[in-house]
Amino acid sequence: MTRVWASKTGRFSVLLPAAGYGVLAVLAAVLVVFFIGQVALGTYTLSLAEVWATLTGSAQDMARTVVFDFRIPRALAAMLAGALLAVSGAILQALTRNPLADPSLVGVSQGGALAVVSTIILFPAFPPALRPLVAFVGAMAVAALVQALSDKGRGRNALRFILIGIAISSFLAALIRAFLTYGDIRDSMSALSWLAGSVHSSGWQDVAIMGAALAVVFTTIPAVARRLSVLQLGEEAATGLGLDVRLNNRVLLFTSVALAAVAVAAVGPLVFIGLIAPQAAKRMVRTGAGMHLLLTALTGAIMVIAADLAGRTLLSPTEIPAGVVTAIIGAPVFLLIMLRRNA
Amino acid sequence: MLDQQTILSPILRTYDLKAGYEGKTILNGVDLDVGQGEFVALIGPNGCGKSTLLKTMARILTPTSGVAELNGRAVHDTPTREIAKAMALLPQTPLTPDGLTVRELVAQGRFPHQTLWRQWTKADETAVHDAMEATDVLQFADRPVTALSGGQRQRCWIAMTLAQDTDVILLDEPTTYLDLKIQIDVMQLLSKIAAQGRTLVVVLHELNLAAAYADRVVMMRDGAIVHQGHPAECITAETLEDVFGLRARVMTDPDTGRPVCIPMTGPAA
Repeated sequence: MTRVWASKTGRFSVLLPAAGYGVLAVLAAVLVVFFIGQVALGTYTLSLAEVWATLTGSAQDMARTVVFDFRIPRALAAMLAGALLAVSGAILQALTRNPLADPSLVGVSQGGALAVVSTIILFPAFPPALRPLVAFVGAMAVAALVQALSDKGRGRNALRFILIGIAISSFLAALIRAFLTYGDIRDSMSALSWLAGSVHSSGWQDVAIMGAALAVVFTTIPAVARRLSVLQLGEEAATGLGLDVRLNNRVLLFTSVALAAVAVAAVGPLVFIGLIAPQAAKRMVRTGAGMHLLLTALTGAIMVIAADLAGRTLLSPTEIPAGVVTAIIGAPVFLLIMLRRNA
Repeated sequence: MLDQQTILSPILRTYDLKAGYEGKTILNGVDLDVGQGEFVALIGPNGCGKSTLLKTMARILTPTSGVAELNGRAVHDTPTREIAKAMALLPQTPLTPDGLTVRELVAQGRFPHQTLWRQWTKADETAVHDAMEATDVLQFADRPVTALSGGQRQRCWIAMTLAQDTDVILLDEPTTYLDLKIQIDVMQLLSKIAAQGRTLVVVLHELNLAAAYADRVVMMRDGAIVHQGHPAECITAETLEDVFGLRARVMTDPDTGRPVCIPMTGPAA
């Protein structure tokens, strides 16, 4: 059942996932197909041969500009944001033992959104390039507030974190609406387009930041997975097995929130990815915690790149932001998960 | 009757241990010594603090004052992983993830012995196999735990604590929700484990199970130990009345010499 890789001396040994390699390969292939589609399709459609020519550096300037300055960073930003939100959701769900936990449900996205919207409305001259930073700070601040509130009172119930997060996020949503209503109409329009959650203006800078965050995630998956496997037996059993549950929960919660904040900062609020991707990955194949995180990241990446591709091409030349597409598809899926769970 | 027991080499002991929830004191200064290889049952009415005592010793709860010591080291001041190498815990309601196989569950018992660089060794393999053999769960090693019956499932959880390979095992009401026959099976399994030299501290709801299997019963009321000793000496009509407010006849099992209590069920006098 378990596969073990061990060095000759036995000093090093690593447990390898027993299952999931096939699904991993399929998901990776699907992702590549979507990536090629994202690069080739659009108002300036390229043939596969032209895409290849551009990538290998033997194409004309127009194609090079479209591919390297717009489409590739956009495709990568969609994939990275999806992967980050998905892993964030997977960690949050494992921590709270609640399959409905999602970074956008507990105020992280709204915190980032409120920070950006209020900046746009109150300081219209604020440079848009700094919006990601504002969003990140807002998201982390709200997460810290929710954490501080749920630490108060009895016990350290993970459910409290979710419930308080939901309360805070609806409060923030109301504040956002107030800002949009009272702000100057042009500023409000600008804020609304950011709020829709879009990767259409993503550049290489977004890709670099999200790529760095995801690189950190991937290198820590083995350590995180070990802890999640123990934690899923319940906090008491985990304590008995020698896990510092309190410290562990804080670190993992911070990680989850930070990943979501990085994604929200780069592409705006994309709802439901963190909710659905971990659930979908779980239904594909039963694996250990580490492989599940990998599959979840790939699933999230596919969901956002597919949503962006659909939003870009289905009603062309009108573009629907990826965030709107994920919300339209995500809401019914969310209901489905909830109904099946209660059945 | 032994109210004060002196144990020459206690492996687990508490001094004036106080603990509770939200400022409400439940454990009111408990001194307990547990000797190497002892099978100790904590009994008492609901809310008497027996589970709180177990959870505080297991570092689920932090004491408000007093100390719990394992092998002479303060449980709450020692790195939790070091404690986990010497003391295992079976909580009352652990969670069983969907689809987790028996072998995978039992393997989690090796967590405190593993590191990121050393995730699986011969010792892990042997401990997991031996634990499954001792609890007789090898025949369904690759089945999901959730597909098993309550008694089989409990044996898997006990196997997990055995795989942890500790001197001390704490168990919080391991027989609750099980059929009588299965309760006996679990208690016999625990006796066997104790006979092999492990120290067991078990919270039990069922008096007669404690009476039949424990080396020592510790009777608690209002957050304090009121009586303790060998079941044959400690479980009497008087102590039951005193601790539980229960009117019961205590008889002796002719085969084992252990006490058996029969609550008086007739109309109240």
